[in-house]
Amino acid sequence: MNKSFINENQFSVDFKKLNLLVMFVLSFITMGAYIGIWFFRNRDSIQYFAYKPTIHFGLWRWFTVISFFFLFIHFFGGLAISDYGMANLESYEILFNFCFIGLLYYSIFRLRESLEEETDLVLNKYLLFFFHVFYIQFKLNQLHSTSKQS
Amino acid sequence: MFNTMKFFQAIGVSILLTIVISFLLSFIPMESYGLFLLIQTILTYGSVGLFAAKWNPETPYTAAYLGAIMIAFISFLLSHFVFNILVFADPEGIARSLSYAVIVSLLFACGTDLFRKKREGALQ
Repeated sequence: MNKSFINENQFSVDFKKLNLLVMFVLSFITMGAYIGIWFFRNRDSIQYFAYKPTIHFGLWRWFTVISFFFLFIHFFGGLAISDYGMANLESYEILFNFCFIGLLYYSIFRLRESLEEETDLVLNKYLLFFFHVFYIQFKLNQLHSTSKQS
Repeated sequence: MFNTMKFFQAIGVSILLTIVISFLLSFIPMESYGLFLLIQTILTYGSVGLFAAKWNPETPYTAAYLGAIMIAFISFLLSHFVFNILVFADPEGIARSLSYAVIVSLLFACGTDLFRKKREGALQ
């Protein structure tokens, strides 16, 4: 892929458009594990325009798999596991979730840096803090609609 | 980029500082346990936030956050395997202690970041 394609401000086409409501419902059903899938959905376009390898997709793969594993245990674990075991697994889940939040915010803010470098998008850091992935997708959708009109 | 070596150094310095200052504090006759624990909490997680933010200037908040989680995790492992306290059987306790750790560490990292920005502004 050639880089001149990016500089003509056309690369936004690479990011897939997605309805925010669908995204919200999906992440609500999967209790947040969908966020990992969102990163993999946009993997090619993220790696395409971020020059430095700032987002570790190897780590994200592990985190997505483990979060789906915990989701599965959350729903069906009570059938086979004792109360003590469930309490232990819940503590591991809390530890894992804290690490997940750390990785999420690291990736999101690095993504913001490269997005602001490459396009004329301006991302508010407070809104980014509260709505992370959804806010980025919202801004990318906006970019889509403006580039279609022009 | 995230500097892993400096990150582990910050964790080590914070643990060492906690050990030394707690040893010195034990010579002062202190009535309440709560005050001692509060001082230790602020000392451990505050110092990891401070040093991680100081030595990792590009990603201060991530370093402080992960450092606090690492130290809390080390203390859980220590109390589970060495002192035989069943900490993992109480998920709410784990969530509470992790939250306190992260809040104190991030507050100190925020202070360090503000201080550095102010000093850089004064130098220019």
